[in-house]
Amino acid sequence: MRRLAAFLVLASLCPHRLPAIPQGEDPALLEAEALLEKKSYKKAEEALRAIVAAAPANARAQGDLALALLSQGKTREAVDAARLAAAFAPETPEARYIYALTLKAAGRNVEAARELEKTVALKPGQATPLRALAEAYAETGDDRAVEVYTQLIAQEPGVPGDRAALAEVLWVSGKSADGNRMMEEAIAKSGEDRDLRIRYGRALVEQERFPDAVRELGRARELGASEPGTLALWANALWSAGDTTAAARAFGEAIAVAPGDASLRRDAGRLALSLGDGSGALVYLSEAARLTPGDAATQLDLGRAYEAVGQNAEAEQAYRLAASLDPKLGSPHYALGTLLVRTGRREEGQQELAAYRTLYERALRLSEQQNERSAELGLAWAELNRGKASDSLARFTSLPESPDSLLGRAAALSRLKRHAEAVRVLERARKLAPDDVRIRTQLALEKSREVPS
Amino acid sequence: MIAAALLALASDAAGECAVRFTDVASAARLNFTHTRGATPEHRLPESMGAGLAWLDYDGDGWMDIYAVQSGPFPPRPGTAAQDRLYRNRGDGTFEDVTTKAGLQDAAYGMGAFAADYDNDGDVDLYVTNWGGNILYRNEGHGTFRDVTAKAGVAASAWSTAAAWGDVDGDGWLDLFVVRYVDDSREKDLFCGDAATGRRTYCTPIVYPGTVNVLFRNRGDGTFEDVTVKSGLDRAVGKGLGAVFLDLEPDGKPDLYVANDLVVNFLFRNLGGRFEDISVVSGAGFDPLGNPQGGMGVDAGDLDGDGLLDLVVANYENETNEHYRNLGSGVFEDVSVSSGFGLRHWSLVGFGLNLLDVDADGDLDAFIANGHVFEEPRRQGGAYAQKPLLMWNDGAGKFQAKPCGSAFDVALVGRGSAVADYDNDGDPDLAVSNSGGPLQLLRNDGRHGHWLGVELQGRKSNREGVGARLTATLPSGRALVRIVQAGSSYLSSSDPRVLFGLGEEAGVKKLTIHWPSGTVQVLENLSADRYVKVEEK
Repeated sequence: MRRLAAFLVLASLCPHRLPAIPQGEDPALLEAEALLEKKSYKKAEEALRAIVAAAPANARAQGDLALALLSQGKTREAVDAARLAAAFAPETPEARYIYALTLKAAGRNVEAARELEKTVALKPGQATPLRALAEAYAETGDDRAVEVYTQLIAQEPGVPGDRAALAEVLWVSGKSADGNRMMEEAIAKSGEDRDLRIRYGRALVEQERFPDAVRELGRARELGASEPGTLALWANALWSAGDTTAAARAFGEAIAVAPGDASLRRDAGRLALSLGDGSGALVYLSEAARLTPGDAATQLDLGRAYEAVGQNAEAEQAYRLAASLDPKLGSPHYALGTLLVRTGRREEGQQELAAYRTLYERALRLSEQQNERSAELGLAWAELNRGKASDSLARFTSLPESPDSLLGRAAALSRLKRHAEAVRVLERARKLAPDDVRIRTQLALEKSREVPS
Repeated sequence: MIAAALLALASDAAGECAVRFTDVASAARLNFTHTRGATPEHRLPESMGAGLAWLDYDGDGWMDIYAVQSGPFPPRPGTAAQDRLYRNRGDGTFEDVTTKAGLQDAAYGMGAFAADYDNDGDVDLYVTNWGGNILYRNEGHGTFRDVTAKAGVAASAWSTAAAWGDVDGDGWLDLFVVRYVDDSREKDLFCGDAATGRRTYCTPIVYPGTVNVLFRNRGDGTFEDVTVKSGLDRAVGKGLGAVFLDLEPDGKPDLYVANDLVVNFLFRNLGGRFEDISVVSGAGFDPLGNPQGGMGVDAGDLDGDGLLDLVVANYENETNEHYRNLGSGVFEDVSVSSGFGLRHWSLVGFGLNLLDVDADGDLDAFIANGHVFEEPRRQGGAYAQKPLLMWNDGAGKFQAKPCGSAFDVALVGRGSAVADYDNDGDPDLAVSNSGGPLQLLRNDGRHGHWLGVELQGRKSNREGVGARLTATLPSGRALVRIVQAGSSYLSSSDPRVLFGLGEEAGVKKLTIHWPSGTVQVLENLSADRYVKVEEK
């Protein structure tokens, strides 16, 4: 019974189900676990702290404490308690599993994956830790996620969620066709799962497979999907697929569901503008502007709608407002400038166009530099992937220092087994981009591989 | 009677179309296939060629055709492919006279631009290439000579389009050469899937832009590079199309350049020096100031107001642009309201020609489409694409309607050019397709009356390039046309002007504004014939 309590607590923390760590039937511990079950985390923590103070090597109590702390958001302390649980019961998969959970909560996914690898090794064939491992790999961008999900699918072929998760991994790694096939299998296994169809539809939009996205999102809609976000996605997919009549209808439907959603009205207005329907656009965009008066992009579109119906004074006002709301946005200056020039106010127009030109040229230079850099990095990565690590390293090193070039340099160094150098490079990269998950993950990986010389 | 019945039948077969276009290249013995030399490295030039030129090189009154070949990339000695010249035999067929004519351009070809630059009465030819252009002087007896070095017009790097125009009004045609991007660092770049190593073509944004070149014709067979002197050196672009047009009109040819993903250029001619009015004119961007993927370009009066409007063929997911000329160097982007630019989501426009397809007096448009990527990312997108025929209602409003079997065929369209190759008074088309066959699209069906005008300059350049012709019809309707040498995508068209007259049986008054400034008027010209007009 008490076992079950701990199990339930664990289950409430995450969907992975493992029994608690076996450790005799200590009444105090059972009491504490009862508190955990009742979600009295603070009291459970107090009780468990008393137990571990008396018996620090009580792995089950450390594990329970970790869970109690984790439930209260005390992640750091939870990691410490779980680490002790795993240290005192290294061959116990449950302890390792709890440790992995805390590490994951702390964002230490690489270490979490390592603990999960140990859990799986201790309990081979059990789906829950295997699934957690696959998720951890997926989160760290580790290619092994595919392998683990494939193993899971072979083991439990009836679970659509694993196929869907594998599809996501395949999409992220650029294997769109394989991902699509996997998601279609997941949908087939699930019967008619609306959410899976929405996920699939979203991925298809990203792949610019608009007709297929229309099909999936349309089916989700038939199955009852009525969230404004989904309807908006469906409408935009219809528009991009070239079915503008259906898109207009879909926007209308979405607006009826969420009349206060300005972005829906803005998209509907843009669609009308692209079809040359200035009056229709004006209706949508006026309302969008009323709902979000501080949005520069909406004011810009509103200006275009006014222009389309010949209300130049109102257009001018909207463009001026857009420019003042977002001074870095070039388009209002351009639209206003050309309007003024066309309507005979050349000098004023030229001032606006000069402002536009400055913004345009700055943005162009930046875009050209970024794109060129990206293509240079692309070549270095391609060389690395072709096994030319030394060439790749030289190429990455020749590029100006940036988080991306340093990340590539570290990857090349790692491939050459120069892990200590890779760590140093990644630490430099982290200084440039402290929040970059790729750098953090790679750094953890390299540190784990680093051999002190 | 029988002919009328046949015409009616043909019209029915083509639906509502009064005219239809049929690819007759094979029957005409135009067996030219473009080779682009595609490599796994996906070097950008492989995706860009090629164009063509219509020219009556032997002066027999029938338009011949020069087809540009690209070949293996990068060009290697011994494996080079060669451009071809096909002579129009006047019986609906052509013969390959490349060798006989002494033409031997085996460089990696881009475009061809015909004009009589030396005013000796026969048409010469400028060919743009990746890595050095060639000027062929017509020797007058069916042969050409490479005079590039003497003329000093090789340019350098990667040239795409070109256009001839008398920029300084001295009676000699100057040469404007458009350059695309600086691809010299292409080997240091990778676009595609770095994980698999599979490459695609890089977007032009990746490459630095370049400066175009203006060569002034000294009149002695040599040219002077006046790029800096003319002020054109300050505009760094990524050009693919160019036309000369007189904006005001003030008799001085202005210049428009379609650029790929940077602002299109509009240069106002101040008399040999140019003022950049790209941004202030409103003809440089889309309505929000976004640059588009500009390819082919043409100029013509689309709404009958006497001013030359501009059209540009653009990349997928963009509108083909229609800039309406409001006068004083100001344009309005009417792409959506005119219907010209209503989105054809997955089409990538290249060749673009304004032509009066059915001779009803207004300029319609032909657009050759073809993707850059062999496997376009967008679902439903295709590498080979069908062309578009955009019909003008006479007021500058357009509607796409395919007419004839030529519009059922998907190819990777690039350059296109117009000529009345069979001298029957309606405009036909030739289309160069990347890695595909040259097409000859013959225009048949019910047409209005017409008048063809061939100019011969005396004070002006010999072909009257840059002349502005206004035909006033008995009803009072006035049609404005210009003589061009270089337009569309990497191509040049028949220099003769065709007026479609509709139901009207003649031209009451033909006014010619010659580039020299001479204004010449001819009256009461009967329809359905070509007239040759010599500058007075």
